[in-house]
Amino acid sequence: MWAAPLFLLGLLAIGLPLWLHRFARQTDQRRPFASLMLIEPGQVRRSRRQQLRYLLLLALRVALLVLLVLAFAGPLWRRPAQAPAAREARLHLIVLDTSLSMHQAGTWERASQRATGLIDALRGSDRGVLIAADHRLRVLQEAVFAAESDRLRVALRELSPGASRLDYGLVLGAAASLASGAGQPVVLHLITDLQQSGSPVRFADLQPPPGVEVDLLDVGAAPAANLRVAQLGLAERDAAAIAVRLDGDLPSAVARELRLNIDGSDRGRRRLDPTRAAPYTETFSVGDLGEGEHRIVATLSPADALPQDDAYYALLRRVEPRVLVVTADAGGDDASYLRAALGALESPRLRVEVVDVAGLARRALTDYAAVVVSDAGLLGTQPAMALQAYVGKGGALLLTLGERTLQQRSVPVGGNRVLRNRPRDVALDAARVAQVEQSHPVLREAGNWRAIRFFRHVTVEPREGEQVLLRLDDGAPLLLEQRLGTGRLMTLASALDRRWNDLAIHPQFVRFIAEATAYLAGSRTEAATALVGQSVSARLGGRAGAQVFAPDGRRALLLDGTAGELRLAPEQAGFYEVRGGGRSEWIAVNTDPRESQLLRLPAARIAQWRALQAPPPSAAVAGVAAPLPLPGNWLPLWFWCLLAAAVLAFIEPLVANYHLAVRREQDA
Amino acid sequence: MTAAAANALLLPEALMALANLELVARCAVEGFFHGLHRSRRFGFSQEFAEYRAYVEGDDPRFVDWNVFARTERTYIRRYEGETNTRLMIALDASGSMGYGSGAVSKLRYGQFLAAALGYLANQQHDPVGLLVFDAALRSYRPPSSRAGSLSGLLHALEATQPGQHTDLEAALQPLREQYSRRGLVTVISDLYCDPAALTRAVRPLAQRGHDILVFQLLDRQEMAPAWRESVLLEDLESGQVREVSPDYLGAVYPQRLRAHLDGVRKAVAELGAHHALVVTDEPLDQALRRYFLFRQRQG
Repeated sequence: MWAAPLFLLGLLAIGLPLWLHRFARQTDQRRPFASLMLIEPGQVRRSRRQQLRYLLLLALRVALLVLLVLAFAGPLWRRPAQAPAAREARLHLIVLDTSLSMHQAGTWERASQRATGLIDALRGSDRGVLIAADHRLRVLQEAVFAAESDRLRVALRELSPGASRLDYGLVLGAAASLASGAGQPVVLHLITDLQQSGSPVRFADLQPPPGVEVDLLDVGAAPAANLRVAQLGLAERDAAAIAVRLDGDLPSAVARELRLNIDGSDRGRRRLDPTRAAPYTETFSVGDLGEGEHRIVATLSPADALPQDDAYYALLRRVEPRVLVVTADAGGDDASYLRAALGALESPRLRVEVVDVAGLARRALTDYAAVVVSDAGLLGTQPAMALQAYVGKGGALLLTLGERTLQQRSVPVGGNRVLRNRPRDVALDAARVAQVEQSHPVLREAGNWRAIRFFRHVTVEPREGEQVLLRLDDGAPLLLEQRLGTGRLMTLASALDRRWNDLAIHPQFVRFIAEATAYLAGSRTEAATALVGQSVSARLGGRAGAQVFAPDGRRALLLDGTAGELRLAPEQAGFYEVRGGGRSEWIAVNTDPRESQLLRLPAARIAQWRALQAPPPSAAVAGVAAPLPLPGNWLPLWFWCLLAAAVLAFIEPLVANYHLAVRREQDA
Repeated sequence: MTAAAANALLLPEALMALANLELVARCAVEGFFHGLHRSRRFGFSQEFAEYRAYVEGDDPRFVDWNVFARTERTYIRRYEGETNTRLMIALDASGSMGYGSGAVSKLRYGQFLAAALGYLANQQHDPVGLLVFDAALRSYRPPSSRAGSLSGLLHALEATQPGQHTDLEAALQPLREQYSRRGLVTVISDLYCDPAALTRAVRPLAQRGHDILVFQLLDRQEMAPAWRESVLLEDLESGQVREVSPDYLGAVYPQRLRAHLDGVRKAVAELGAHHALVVTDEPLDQALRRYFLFRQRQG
């Protein structure tokens, strides 16, 4: 079989050397000579040798052309039917669980021993692949035969468990792609501690892929007590206290100490009662931490069965975001409503400033976490452009639409087209909220929006990609949110005016304004947290020269995300520092709490898993044993043809040169 | 005719342009003598030497009728150098003599040489005969000095074509048996034979007192082959074909040719004969010069 049979037409080129040699031979026509008495008969043999040299040269040239043509035509050689002994050769995928739980005492040593045993058991025709599995699968050593098993051992020696989580569903799901194209039966040896939290959501995900036999090798130990810090943050009712939530599956026999460290200094110690059942919370009073970002570490000591999760890292941002309220009249009703509502928010506490449109030009918008504009129609061109630029660079803007907006064809910021306005009767014709997007953080605890009557509203056309959070019963959007550049714009299509609605007299008003503003402002103040192995946005990465440094001080590898956003996949717990754009931010990275749960899969569950049989191999896999003409059974030979052609191309000039050297001597 | 023009006429290529052998012979001989400036050095002359009384059997053409008119006695005029030498020319007409790398084959060159020698002898009133041979005797003209004998000889030469292989012993057998009067025997051949066979063929002639001159004719391509690549050589006598490499022609063949020529010279010398190697691209006077040197030595 040929990969590109049309190239075989190139064999016609063989005619060239044949013609050339024939032409050359024709010059050896008979020449009359007086007598051959002085020509010794031995000369005939010599001439034959020369003829042989001619033929050798011709054969070399023809072979060179043939090999070149074959290399381009791509011959495929079908492997002969495998001998019975060879049929038993298998591809062994040795998958080692390198998740956090494998740090448990003695577990990794047992896993290494089992892996070494598997490598030693490889037979001559078997092939082995070494794979590390945690939040991803890493092929540490490609398939090698038993004769090269030392490469597997070297790769195994350099392997150690990490800090991320393993999901068995991931391993089984990836096994199909690992086994594809193997050309022989595949056995997946999964060396793991059979941690219960590693089980996928659906048990069916543990089904081995077709043609793959799963060999579960249990290296786990009996579950040990593993108290851990599950959560850390401000206390609910005390902004000057830090609450540390502790969790664990089994009670510990050893008394442990909990230490709280803030920005590098110890701020509290607490001896824990070993008899106390987890989960429970310990609170540390730390006083006023002041504004800014604080790195907090809660550490348990002494080390228990899994010391890698004894520390918990958190970031606490104590800031009072500034909010600018823009109204037509700083002493107007709407300004009063907004100031009151925003001032009612405790966390985060907002600092509210009220200005009119003229005062907007004198403010540096970048100093504000959010801007609220009462009736966007009052914005002229310049203020509108300034606010548009502010939002585009990451700012947050809440607009209400009122009387002045009705006079516009579109909303000055955001550009939504104004469709119509139909005044309603106050008593009979008030519109009510018909649809609430409760998944949105602002509306998660929305309350009774239907109780609010909207007499007037500005009907705007949502832009592409814009989310409608509230919709009136006539279908008109009431609350919309869209992203402008890297910032957010939220639009309420009604005014804060009792002639337009009775929102201001409902408790809903204060909560909504506060939540919306906090949400918008919080988009710039929320602390970044992540789990090991989980992709997280390095938000400063979009800026030139952004760098991320791991807790050990080394530069971390960034991944290209969507829209030019750089993402980080942390591999260790601790604080990652993101530097860029003249400032730096921190990302707190912790181990996955599920890995800290050392409970093992129930024996019945393990038995069920072992009982899961791979479905009958599909046609693609059946070809492994059956001598069907599958692509995997065809061996491409073009490389060998090209190699042989290269060798001949080296020899041909030598032979030709030797042949021509005789003539040159005679010429001299 | 200037000497240079005369010498140019002696070139084989120039002689090839002439119409017949008689003209060739005359041009060759006269050109040769012109080049000699009538030197007597070679012992040949048409000058008067003596008178002697006519005896029966003498050719009446040589009677000096002026003396007879004055004295009523018949006297025969004798000239210097006239020795009544009988010349027998043995021309090899085997197939190998038909070879020639240039315009003149060895046989043609031999015809020129034989014609010139015959013409020269005729001028001296010496009887001259011709024997053409290859593997056997092909034609034989006994020596004669009668009028018309030269024309017959030249005609016989003209009609000679290359034939079979060479067998000197068989070919010269009639000559050994019939040619008893002492004379000069000139053998013109390329001598592609065993020197021992040459000895066996010529020795009886030498023992009878014949003076023997052997002209060995070879082509320039035979002396130094100029092929620079392998060639298929076909034997003109046997038809056998052999491929010969340039390295052989450049290294081995000259040694073998030299050894063969040495063998021939040695065989000829043992017979007391004279050997002259003539390459067919040489002017004809070279061969004639050797002939006269030989005649001078013979006295």
